[in-house]
Amino acid sequence: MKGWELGMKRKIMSGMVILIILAAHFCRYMLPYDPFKTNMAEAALPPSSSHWFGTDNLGRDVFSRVLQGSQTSLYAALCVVAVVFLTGTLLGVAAGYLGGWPDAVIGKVIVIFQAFPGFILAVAVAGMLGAGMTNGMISLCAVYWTTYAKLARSLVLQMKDITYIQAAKLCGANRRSIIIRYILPNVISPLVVTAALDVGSVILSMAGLSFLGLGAQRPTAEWGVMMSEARNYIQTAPWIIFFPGLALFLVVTVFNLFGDSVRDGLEKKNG
Amino acid sequence: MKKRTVAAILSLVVVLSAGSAACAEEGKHLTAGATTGFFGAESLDPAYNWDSWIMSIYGITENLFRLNNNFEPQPWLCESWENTDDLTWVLTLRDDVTFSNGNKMTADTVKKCFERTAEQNARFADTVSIDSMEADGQTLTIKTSIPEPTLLNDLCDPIMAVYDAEAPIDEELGASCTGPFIATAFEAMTEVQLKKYEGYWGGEPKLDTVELKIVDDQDALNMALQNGELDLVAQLPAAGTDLFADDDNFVMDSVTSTRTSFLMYNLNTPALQDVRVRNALSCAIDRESFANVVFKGFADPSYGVYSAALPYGGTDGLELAVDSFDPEKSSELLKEAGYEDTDGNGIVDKDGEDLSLRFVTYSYNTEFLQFADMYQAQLAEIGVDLQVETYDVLDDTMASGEYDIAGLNYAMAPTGSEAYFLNMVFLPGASNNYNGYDNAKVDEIAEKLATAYEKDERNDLMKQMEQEVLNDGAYAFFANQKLICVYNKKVTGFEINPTEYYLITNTIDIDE
Repeated sequence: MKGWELGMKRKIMSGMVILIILAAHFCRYMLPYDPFKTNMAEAALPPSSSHWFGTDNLGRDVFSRVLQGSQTSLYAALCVVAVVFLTGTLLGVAAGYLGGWPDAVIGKVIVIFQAFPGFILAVAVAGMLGAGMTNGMISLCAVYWTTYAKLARSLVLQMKDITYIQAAKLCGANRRSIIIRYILPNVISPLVVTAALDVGSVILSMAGLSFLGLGAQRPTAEWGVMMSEARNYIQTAPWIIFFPGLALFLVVTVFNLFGDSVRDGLEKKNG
Repeated sequence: MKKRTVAAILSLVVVLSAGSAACAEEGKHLTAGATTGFFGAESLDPAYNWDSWIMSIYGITENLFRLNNNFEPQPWLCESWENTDDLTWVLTLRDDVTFSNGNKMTADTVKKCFERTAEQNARFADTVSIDSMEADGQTLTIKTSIPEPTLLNDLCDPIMAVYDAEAPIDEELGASCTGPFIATAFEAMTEVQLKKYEGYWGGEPKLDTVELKIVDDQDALNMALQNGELDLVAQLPAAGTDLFADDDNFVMDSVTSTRTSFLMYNLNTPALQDVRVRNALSCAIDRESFANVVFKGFADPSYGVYSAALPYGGTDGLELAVDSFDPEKSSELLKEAGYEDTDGNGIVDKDGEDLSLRFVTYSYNTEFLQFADMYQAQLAEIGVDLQVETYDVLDDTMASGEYDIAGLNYAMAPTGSEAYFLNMVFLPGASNNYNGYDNAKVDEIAEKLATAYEKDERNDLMKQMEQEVLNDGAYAFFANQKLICVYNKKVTGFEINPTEYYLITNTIDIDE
């Protein structure tokens, strides 16, 4: 891909991501209806000019709920990614740089966590902690942190004997400044790419947990919960399940493409 | 919630594997499905919890008497009976009945069976007060400690199921009973395999094998019925009725049962000790919408206690504290009770405490889950915060008292006996009196009712009792629902039953 195309793609994707985040953040000013207010006289109406996405089985406006749901899903996903990015990187760098027993302990813990299929582990953790949005987020953190820890550790291991690090050591730099000033800036790009690529997958996993009843709880406007509630109407009022699904699909696609473009950009920069 | 999820996943797998399992069977085979609430036995021991009820649906257990569609008891394992005095009933049992293990049913086996159930299940004593029993051949003489005018109805209650209590009760397959079908495999809350009992006294069952699947994912049930993996779905939630109503390949039957949706207010919760608060909460229930929209007309809104289908039911002659959906009245009542939003957080409060209540209900009841959402939104409008929690087995939570409002769904007179629900719920110390309800007048009426033989007198007493219950506002009965069953048209001989018992019978047949 040519350079300007790449830049264009990144700009478009960044623009869309910003748009989604803004929409999620300011959605409360844009809601045509109260997403929680039931109106039985208008139950299960198909999409129309007054209800763009139709109404659900309890007469709630699906468009308002999808919009409200973007906030729930996005905030949760960004929060999870931020937490795993920080803790994973910190532990990975610590393990890689310190070596010895910290490396052995952290390495073993990573191996144990990665021994389980990701989503199954999330279901198990959420199941143990009890259903709820916070517990769902904790369970996803338990799944995703290992990627960062492992990646950070291997990057640090490659780098720690490079001559400029040795030079910094010889000049008397302490551990903290070596890690912060010389190591982190050089390992951060792949980690950021991973984070950008993870947002979409975390949104999807969170919706999956909620769909199973382990994440957000009804009547929260969250896409997974909405789809789970709408299952019984899939044949008679398909729009109730279709629109949250579509929103989920679009948002996850945009975040994945955004992640791709960030990766392409950084790869190009690093040559 | 957790269990519900796992169950949902498992049930999907089970339904998906249904087709292959069915192919392997020889002879006439029926596969039926329903949710935990209808099909989910915890064991096959008739004395355990509510399992005898489910076993009567399975066609495993039978009773001395059976209810017809007008809730009148008809002899079943009993041939004839005589009420020699107020306290003595002489029952002559059929001579041709054997248990599925081959043992003959005699008066002595029935006596031992009743003794065992009475010892293990508190609901037995709620149902009848038996003083002593005497067995002689096929003659069973029951002496009650108080006059029991409805003894024959009570003998129809599945808790009075007849099984061989002397034979060991198998851990998986339970007791040997007299019904047309015998369990060959049982996995609690998942699936049950049955085969016909060839020595069945009522005539050889037409089906050879029956497979019952407990699936809480309603959509999976609907689709399994549509694509032929299931032949019959019992207690179809109203949401699915649109799918089958106009389809020639299926038959949809519905019948008004005595099943009622109601709220039970926990009287141990300080905020709920004020009748004005309870009435405010009852006034905020949109009964019409619930019956017409959520139930799609397969329920009637209720403001009384019992279903209008019962002679003593409906609201005629009763004075109603709550007679319509009226959020404004709710707000007024809350204000009168001293609740106002003083801190501006949208929730009314009193003495610095927000009115926030814990609502518990069944995780598998799709109508109740919708009710919860609806009610939560409605209460939010009048400034009451409702926290919803759902459970697979609600009884434990109820017994622990860890709730403020419970959304419950009970068959209120399945045996036709007026005293059934009264003895089980309203009286202090009753097995399902989970909210501490205690009204001396209700107790007094219950005592009178227990010895009243005249139908008119009984109906009159029931009305008095209903008035007391409504005055106290400790419950809100809001919908009387219909039982809906849908089956493939190749199924014949199926009869829907307002009692909800006796689903699988020897007359059901299937054209392959």
